[in-house]
Amino acid sequence: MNGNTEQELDKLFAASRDAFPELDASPNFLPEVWSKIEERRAPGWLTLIGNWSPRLALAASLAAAVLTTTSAINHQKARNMQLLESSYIDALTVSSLDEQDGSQWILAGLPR
Amino acid sequence: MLVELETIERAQAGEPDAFNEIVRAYRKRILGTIYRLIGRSEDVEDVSQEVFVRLYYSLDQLRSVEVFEPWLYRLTTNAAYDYLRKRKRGNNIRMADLSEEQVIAADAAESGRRDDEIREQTEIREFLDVLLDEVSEEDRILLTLKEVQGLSLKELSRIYEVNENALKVRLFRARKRALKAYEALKKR
Repeated sequence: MNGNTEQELDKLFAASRDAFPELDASPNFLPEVWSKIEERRAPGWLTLIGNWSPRLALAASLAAAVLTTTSAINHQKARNMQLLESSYIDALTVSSLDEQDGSQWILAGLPR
Repeated sequence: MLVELETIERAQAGEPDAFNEIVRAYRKRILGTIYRLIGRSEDVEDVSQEVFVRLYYSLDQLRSVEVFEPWLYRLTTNAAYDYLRKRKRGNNIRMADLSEEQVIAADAAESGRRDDEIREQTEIREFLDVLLDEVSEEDRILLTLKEVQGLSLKELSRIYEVNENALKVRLFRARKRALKAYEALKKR
């Protein structure tokens, strides 16, 4: 690439600036724009879904939040029940041990 | 701005009259830009209408009415880009591939006038179209906006949403590729 080519390209660009005559829009320009807009308009039901989409998204988020909270509460309840049950069994074990006499208790702990 | 900011806001609110006002105010500018970008008068109106259809459906995404013009330019360059890509994929015959007689006949049919100046302008346009067809659509659009449309770096940086230094680099590379294509065309 040499300087001459660069100059020629610059000349071409400069000449191009005046080489494009101003174009006028046809009288149908605006009506045709509107008919293209109408052609591309989504069907009514799709528009309705589109309009409702923020509300639908909000409702879905709320439902998800409620379900998560309910599930968390249920999970916690189940854990508590487990703890309660285990402490109840522990208490039963201790009380049954208390009821046994000392020898049994001692024998139970001796190696056979 | 060719329209009041309030007109754009009204168009955003869905007022058809405000949208019509925008189309009437900007159609000539868009037609001129599209003509320079795609280089073919026969498709200019169709691509320009596409710009306004896209404008209609994207007005609600316009963050601030102050940036309406760069926004409209971006829609214009995008529509031209899509057209150029489709054209490249298709099998369109270039005017410059036709014989000189055919070009003259086509010109005569198109404008009904024929003198040396018009013929020279047509040749320049056709040669520019052939040259820019040899580079990518991105390079073509950038070079046309800068060198043919005459936009400043500042205006370009608002359209492309990049800083001026980054644009300078892009322009330098695009120009280099255009120079290479120019040399190759001269050798043919």
